[in-house]
Amino acid sequence: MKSHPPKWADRLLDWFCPPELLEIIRGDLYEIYHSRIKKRSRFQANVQFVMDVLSTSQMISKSKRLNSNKTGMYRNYFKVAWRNLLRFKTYSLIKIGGFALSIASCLLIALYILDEISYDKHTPDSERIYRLRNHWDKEGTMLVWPAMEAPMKKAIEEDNPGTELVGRLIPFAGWFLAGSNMVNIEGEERTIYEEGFVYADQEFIDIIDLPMKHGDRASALKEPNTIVISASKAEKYFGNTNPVGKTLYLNGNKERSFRIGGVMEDLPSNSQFAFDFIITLTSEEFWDGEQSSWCCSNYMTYIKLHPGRDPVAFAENMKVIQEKYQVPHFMSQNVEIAEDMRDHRFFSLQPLTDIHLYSTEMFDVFKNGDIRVVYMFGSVAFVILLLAIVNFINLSIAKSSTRSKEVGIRKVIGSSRAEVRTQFLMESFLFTFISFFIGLLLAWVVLPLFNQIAAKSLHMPWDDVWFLMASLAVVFFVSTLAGSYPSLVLSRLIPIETLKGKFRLGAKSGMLQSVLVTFQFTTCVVLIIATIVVSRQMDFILNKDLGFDKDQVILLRGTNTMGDQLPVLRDQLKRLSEVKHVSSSSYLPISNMSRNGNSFWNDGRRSEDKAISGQFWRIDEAYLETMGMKLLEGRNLSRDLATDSASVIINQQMVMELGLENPIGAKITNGDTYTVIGVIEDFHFEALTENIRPLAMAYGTWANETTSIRVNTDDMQTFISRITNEWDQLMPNQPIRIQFMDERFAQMYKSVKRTGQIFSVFAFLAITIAGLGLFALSAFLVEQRRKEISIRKVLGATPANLFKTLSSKLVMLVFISLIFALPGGWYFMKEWLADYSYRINLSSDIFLISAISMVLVAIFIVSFEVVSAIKRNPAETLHAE
Amino acid sequence: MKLGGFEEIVLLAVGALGDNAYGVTIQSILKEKMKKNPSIGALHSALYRLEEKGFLTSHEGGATAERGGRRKKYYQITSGGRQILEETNALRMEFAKSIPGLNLSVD
Repeated sequence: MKSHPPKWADRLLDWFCPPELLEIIRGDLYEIYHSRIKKRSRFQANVQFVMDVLSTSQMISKSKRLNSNKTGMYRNYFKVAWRNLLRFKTYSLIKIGGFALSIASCLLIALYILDEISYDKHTPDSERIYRLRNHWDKEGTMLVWPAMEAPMKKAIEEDNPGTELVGRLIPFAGWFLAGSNMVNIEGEERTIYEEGFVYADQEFIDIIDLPMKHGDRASALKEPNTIVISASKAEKYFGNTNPVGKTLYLNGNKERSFRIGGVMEDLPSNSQFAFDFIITLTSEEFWDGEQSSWCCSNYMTYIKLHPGRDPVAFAENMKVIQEKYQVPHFMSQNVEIAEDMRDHRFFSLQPLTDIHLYSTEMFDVFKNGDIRVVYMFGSVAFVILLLAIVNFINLSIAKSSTRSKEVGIRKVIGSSRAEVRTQFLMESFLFTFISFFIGLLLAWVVLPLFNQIAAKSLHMPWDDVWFLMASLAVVFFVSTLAGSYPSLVLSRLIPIETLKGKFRLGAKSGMLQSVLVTFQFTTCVVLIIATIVVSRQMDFILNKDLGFDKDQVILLRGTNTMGDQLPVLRDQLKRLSEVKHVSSSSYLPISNMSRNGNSFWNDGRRSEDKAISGQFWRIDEAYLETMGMKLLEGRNLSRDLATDSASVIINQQMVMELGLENPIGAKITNGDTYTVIGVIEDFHFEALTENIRPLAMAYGTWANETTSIRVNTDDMQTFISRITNEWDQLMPNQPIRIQFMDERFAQMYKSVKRTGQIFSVFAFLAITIAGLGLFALSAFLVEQRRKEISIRKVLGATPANLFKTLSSKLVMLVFISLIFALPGGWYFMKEWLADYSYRINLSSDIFLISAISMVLVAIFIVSFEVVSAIKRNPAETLHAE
Repeated sequence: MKLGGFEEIVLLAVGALGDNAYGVTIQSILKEKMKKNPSIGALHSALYRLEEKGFLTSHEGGATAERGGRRKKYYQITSGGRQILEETNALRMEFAKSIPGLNLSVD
């Protein structure tokens, strides 16, 4: 035959027609096709053939398809799979339980990661919003920080075209009213402590499109002395009424009132911004000339670009502003700095949505996440899933001996290899699906606990179609991955051999099994090492000698509102027998307290030397004793010496960086000149991820937000009620606010600790899953050698001999895995510790402990089945022979 | 047992074709008489239903080169088929009588 109708249409016919009519209908169609081709063109005949084929689609009769032989087979596959599941209960439990655990873990981690990467994506036009960053790149040190000078806003508006909006934000706690304050509502007596104050421009809330509950966003912060408060705070103070236009005072200062310009919706948890009170920057001038001075960088500056505007071009353009304003400003003070600035300082725009995960290298005040943690958790989830898949493959192969006869029979009756493969793939799908369902429930049940540990407010996205689709896709993917190798092995079995009772899997799958088990052991050892190192590092940080004594120090916060009452309070406290020292200073060696960056020089060298950047704190005469800091040379500050207003105490780091040979009596300057009267031992005043920076401390009683009390008592409870009593007499309208220094210190490491805890939990889960798998695997290996064991026993093997024979293979695999795991674990942990300036050594005992515990655990797991096999009466197993 | 409109026509066509009633010939006679071209799919599903209802029987045979060596399925009307045609026609005539001016007599 010369011509043939289109093949694809022909094949379609197989689908449409009932099999018993297929030949007849195809014959008819061919006959018509050939009569048409004689009369008309081939093309027309083809088109009509296709139309005819399509017309047969009405022949698909549902009842016929469902009753076809194939559906019956599928039903049978499921039935057999189900029966097998019930028959080997322990095995199924481990297979499904392990999978369910791993799926629950992966789900939780996935939710965590999805939340982390969702930060600020809800902001409209977020792709056009950026934060302006400074870079300082000199002699290999790259510094990045996000604070800008006050006039930068105006400069960008005038000199950087393409900018839609520029808005500034001051979130730095301790900067005037930013941070925490005592709040008074006009007409009310009570004074309430509140946190979460920031300063911002009207443009800032326009940029982030702050959703409002009451008031008009476009004018909420336009007027001077306006404030925007969050919905939850509005409810706390005003109930359900609209408080816009009401007045409040801060820290008992009646001279200055703030009018509520609007109420914003509470900021979502997945936003870098977490504050409740926004004070306007309109007409705000923190000191004379502050708004027009290029001296000081205190403003986070957010930019919204016009659509299509290139952020790189914007950053390039910033050079113009630098040349116009910043360089001239420094030129008048220090030529070298000005020239350094020209050569080494540049700008960039950080996308709003990147800020949460990509700001760890910067000096940033937000409680940011860390993309490395995201990757770390992601890889843990991946490892857990992989371990469960490995379990599945290993157990399926091990158990294939019990299924070999079934495969033999199926093949003899007429199953093709493809059909056997389909069968086992479906079985794997069944297992995965059940596991997934259980895992989903498990994750749902555990979620509140997980939220508590992770300090998140995650919820199961039941209503999210994408989540369900993605989950189903994962089930398919995982079941295919887990089922493909076992199904391949089983479908390859030769019926005649399996039916004769011979069963050999071949060297390849034995090899694969060994590789997989080695992989599991390796992962376990690495995870054990990681868990030990993480917990040791945490202990190290929390118990390190800090250079001051954080225990038995009570902090009274908010004492800046006391005015003349503060010295009275101090005197009364000193009279208590438990109190050893009392000191008032806002500067404490724990993070989130007052800080200020200053530049220091040796006196008279200001225009010649490079500035030493350091902290400049204000303290009183009792500070060093209260904190338990050690004076190495010189003397303490004195209240009675008038000259001490120009005296400083500096730390060793400052001595070193300034290169002082004889520090006592040396004169240093930060603009004002001070005489050094004492040197104290270095102490850690920031988290231990940072090095100790230079520090100078001078006398000053106005920085008195916190009053610290060093006590010596075993009965803290009574003591606290006593000082509360004292306080209430002096400050009846302001509740006392007490903190413990050691608790505040522990808080600094909360997120690190939290990460460590989550990691340990999942590491433990991973090890459990692998352990369960090994347990089931060893059970099957022993099962296969049951007869061998009996014969050996009959011939006189001792239990020790048998134990050795049976467990030697797995123990050997443990040792092989150590070869990979120990260097691997060492490498990973070295990388992880590199983030800490103060860290533990990776001593050999960590690796020794990990290795030994792995060997012991492996032997322990194997011994269960081995011991029961050895104990068994040989007659039971051999009587059938 | 019901007989659809198209089924009735097909049944009549099979009866009319006698020994030579299979897919292609049935389609062409329908085309000739009805001036319309029923699709082969519609035709075969009607035939299938008619056979299921017992109005038609079939036997296979008569493969040709044109058909790529595939057999034909020849249909024959059964006594049940004849009966249902008669019943349908009787019903039709009865109604026709009561419609004035409608002439349905067979000559």
